[in-house]
Amino acid sequence: MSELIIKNLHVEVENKKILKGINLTVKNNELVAILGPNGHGKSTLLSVIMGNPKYKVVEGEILFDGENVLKMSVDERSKKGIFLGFQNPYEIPGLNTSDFYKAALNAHEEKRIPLFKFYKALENGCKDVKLDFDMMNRNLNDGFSGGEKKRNEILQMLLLNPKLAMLDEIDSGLDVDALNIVSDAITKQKEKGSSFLVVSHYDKFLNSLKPDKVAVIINGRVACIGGEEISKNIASFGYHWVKKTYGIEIEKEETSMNQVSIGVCATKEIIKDEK
Amino acid sequence: MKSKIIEVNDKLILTENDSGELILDLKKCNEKVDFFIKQNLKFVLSLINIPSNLALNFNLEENSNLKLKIINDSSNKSLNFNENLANSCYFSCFLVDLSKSNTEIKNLCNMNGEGSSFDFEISSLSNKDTVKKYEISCNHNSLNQNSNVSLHGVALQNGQIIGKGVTWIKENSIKSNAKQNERIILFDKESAGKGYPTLKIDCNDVKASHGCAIGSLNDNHLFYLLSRGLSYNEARKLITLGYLQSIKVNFNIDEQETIDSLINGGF
Ligand SMILES: Nc1ncnc2c1ncn2[C@@H]1O[C@H](COP(=O)(O)OP(=O)(O)OP(=O)(O)O)[C@@H](O)[C@H]1O
Ligand SMILES: [Mg+2]
Repeated sequence: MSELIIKNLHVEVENKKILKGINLTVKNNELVAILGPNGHGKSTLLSVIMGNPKYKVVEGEILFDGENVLKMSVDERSKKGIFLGFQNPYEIPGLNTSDFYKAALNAHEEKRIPLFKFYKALENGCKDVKLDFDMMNRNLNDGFSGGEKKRNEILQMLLLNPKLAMLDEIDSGLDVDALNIVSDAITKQKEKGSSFLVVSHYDKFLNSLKPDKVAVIINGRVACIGGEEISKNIASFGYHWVKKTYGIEIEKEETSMNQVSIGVCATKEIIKDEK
Repeated sequence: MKSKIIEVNDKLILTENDSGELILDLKKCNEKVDFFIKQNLKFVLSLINIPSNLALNFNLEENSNLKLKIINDSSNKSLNFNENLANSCYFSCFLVDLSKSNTEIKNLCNMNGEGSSFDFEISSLSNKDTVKKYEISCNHNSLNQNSNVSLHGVALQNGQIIGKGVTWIKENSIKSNAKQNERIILFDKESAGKGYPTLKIDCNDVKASHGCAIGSLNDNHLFYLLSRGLSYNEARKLITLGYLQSIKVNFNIDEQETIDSLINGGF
């Protein structure tokens, strides 16, 4: 059983307010998809749930299985079953990947895992995400391609078998085949009972995961929450759809990144109009 | 293939007969030793039993290639390296300094010939009140030359690491490429690190970069490891070890094992 409850969460970084009253619940075995324009706080939310000390929680609560997450250290959160797949996984010089995974798995177990069992699990995991087993002997993410890094994050999820997996743009930079590998891995992990918070800009990917809920984060708040129709509408009409339907102004100046994503949506609108 | 061991006195001329990987035992050297590398030859030398005080001079003839490997694990050292490089030479030195005693290493490389390259990389652990000083300098004296000086250091328990060195790109060394990089992690408040990489550039058409970072661990790296369940101490240790170990790829399997056990013993 696992349930994540976020109540009225306010977060600042360097005196800048980023999250301004997030309310969100992820029930046991639910997959909640998160969408939202660039820079509106999606990664921040996941980082705060994981416990990144860079961010200051000024108000609100996060409960996981009824326990106060904000009081726990980062590693405690991991041991409670919370996992974060990073938007930009770090390259750690000189740290052997398989040594690191061994240490991570052992940290989650009372007794040390026998070596053969570890290597079996690692080998199976590599097969599941189609990473060459030899890569486990390289330094962590060091020189991995963008797609390999993302699959390596999924591998870590499979090995750690978390109760709640938070995946931040795990689909970005993946080719079609890798996208299917990742979405299959997520589906399988969900069948094992995990809950998910999945951030993505890509509706096709999100829909392939059959989310139980779709939430849109705008201006550091959950602007709307509902079913798949939300991601479909946003894909077709852009975030203007949220503005029109829910009367929410998008506060930020549109950055160039923003224009790219809205541009894509606008193009779709034009194509539709032409038809 | 087992490496051949050669005992060296005050001079060694390396010729075709010595090709491949050699272990040079320097215990009988006194004050100074001169090495001569004949043209077009390529050597990998592991230096062992280096005395406490020694000047090592390397003369590389045209188109020769010399790679030095040093694992320092004992006694105080004060070493002076000098290199003279002719055209199209490549000199590299990989120094892993894990001794529990003081070290002072000076290097001056004169790249005299066109198209020659110099690479000096150090991985250093300074613990328990030891002081480690490195002054790695090189002169770009001619066209098309590359240099790279890198120091990865970790200081703990009152250890001190000081990195200096001047890379000087002289007037006629156009199309040169120079890099200097010093990164020192201070494991605790008692330890200290200083870095003064200096670039002197007297020539226009060159590429040069230098960086110096001294401080605690990278917060992002730490968060990444913690998020996988590792405790703070474990994560810190793994990152630091990794940081020292990244030089390992330049060593063979046996040497890598030695480096691992020395690093682990140092914490
Ligand atoms: N460490 C930090 N220092 C300063 N500002 C930060 C920091 N981290 C995040 N921010 C700012 O907080 C805002 C929210 O960033 P966040 O990364 O959460 O956005 P996002 O919704 O994940 O965007 P994207 O879709 O581009 O990934 C941005 O304006 C960002 O610049
Ligand atoms: Mg983000």
